[in-house]
Amino acid sequence: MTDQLIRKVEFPTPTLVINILQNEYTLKWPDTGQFIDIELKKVAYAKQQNDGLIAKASVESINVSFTIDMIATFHVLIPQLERDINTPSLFKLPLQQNAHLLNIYLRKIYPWLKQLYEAVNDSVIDTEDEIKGE
Amino acid sequence: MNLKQFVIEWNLKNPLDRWWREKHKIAFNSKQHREITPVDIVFEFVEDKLYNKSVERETMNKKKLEDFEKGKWIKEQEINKEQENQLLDKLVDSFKLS
Repeated sequence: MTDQLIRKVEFPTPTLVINILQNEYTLKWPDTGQFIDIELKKVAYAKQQNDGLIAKASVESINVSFTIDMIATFHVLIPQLERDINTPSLFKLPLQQNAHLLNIYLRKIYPWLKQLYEAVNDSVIDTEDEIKGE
Repeated sequence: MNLKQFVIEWNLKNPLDRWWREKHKIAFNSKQHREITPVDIVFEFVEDKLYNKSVERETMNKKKLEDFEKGKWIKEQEINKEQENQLLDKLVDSFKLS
């Protein structure tokens, strides 16, 4: 029965391979600590943005909210990214590079994390339905 | 957003996370909490629910068997005085017909 439950809920692949410039990164399902850190960074960066501390050129013309989410996620899941792409800060990326990262984030990482989040929540509903339906 | 708001939002978004911390008496953002993944938590939840259901079913079946062996099923079929009279009336009627 557990097999059926697990099959019904679609978990994403345990790893996700992404390429940023010439570098390849393999991301694993984040642990709870990483999820907490991502959420905390989103809050902190959003506050900085509101306080006008983030370089306006890099974020203003693109969806600010997604950019903040993206940077928070990259800072936690790929902490070496800034060093690898030779930038002092993801907040100071040129517009084109920012758009490139945002594209990778929105097309690959965000759907992968969203699917994980939904699979976890669907598992709760499915389990309860399965038990009630017996 | 302050820390209190953050924790409230976190718990709303992650109800299983709170269930898991309560079950194991683990503090929010402690080392053990940080190391577990949401997938581990959900597997533990599914296993717990199914196991509890299975134990419940087993207990119920055991009780049914015990009741049967004690003859409780006979007691359950006991009839009251009124029903007894009705049955007797029917019986008498059937004799009359024949």
